[in-house]
Amino acid sequence: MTFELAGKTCKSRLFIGSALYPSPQIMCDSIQSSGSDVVTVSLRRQSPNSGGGNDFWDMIQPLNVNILPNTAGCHSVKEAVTTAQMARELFGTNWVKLEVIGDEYQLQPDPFALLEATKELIAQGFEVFPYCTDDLVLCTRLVEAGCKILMPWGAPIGTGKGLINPYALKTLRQRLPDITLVVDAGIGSPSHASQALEMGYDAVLLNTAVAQSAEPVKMALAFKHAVIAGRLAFESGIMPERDIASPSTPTIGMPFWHQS
Amino acid sequence: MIDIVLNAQPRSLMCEMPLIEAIAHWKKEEALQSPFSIAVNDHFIPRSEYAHVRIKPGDSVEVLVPMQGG
Repeated sequence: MTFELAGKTCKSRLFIGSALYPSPQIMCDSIQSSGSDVVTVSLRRQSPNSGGGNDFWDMIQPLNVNILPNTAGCHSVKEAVTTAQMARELFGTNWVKLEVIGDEYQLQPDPFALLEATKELIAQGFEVFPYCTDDLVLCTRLVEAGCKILMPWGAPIGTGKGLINPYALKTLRQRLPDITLVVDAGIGSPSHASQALEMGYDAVLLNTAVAQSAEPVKMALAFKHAVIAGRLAFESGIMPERDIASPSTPTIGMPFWHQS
Repeated sequence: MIDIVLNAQPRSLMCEMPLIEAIAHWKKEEALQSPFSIAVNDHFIPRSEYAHVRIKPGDSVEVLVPMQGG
């Protein structure tokens, strides 16, 4: 089930975050259980209590995954661009999950700043994975700016509400058939991930749904299977929905039924 | 002594100096961990420029390290 992502071959359509786990070891075990080979990370000021050394980075590197740095917490084009530049040097990748937040409560992307930052970063040679809303016009503008990957939200970050606007997501899939589409944020259960893949989305990105579950390692495995199931279903061709019942058992030869 | 801001905290350096020397000082005094990336006055400074950028009075330096993220 490999697929091509920004010049790399990925073995999983499940991207996973590295935050909010009960412990660093559970984080590592969950990432491995998920089968994901794209992991999001961030950059922050050094913790004053770290005493030197970077335990987190020392644990992530041996997992041999593709690192996708984010610009989480950035509220302006300047902040996001500077953070991306620092991430590129720090992590040795031109991939960036671009987040420019416009609302502090919903962590909703600022579409105007997102588009401006995208243009700047693409001009600087970044592979931009923009975290965006499901707005068709915004997504079209991002593609026109050079994005080959879009990451529309399913629901606000950390809400676990799933795909609250499947109509908009389906519209994006239909109108942008050649773009890699990844549902990012708001996924709460494996069935949400399946739903996205069944719709034809190329992947999902989630963090809280695994990290904050009662058993993250087991939940990561559940999501792994859900993503596989969703993709297989999409490739198999899901039956059309009907309003009227159509029997699955043959009616011919039905005993005790008078046929005239 | 010059006053600067390091990761939003007030700090002092002996004098104005190249960033590379300031980093050596912070590795001892602040237990600065590797790997890291630096911005001075909100501008990213690539490693290749550490010897050429000078830290001056009032400069604001951000030193960022890898961290968990979603």
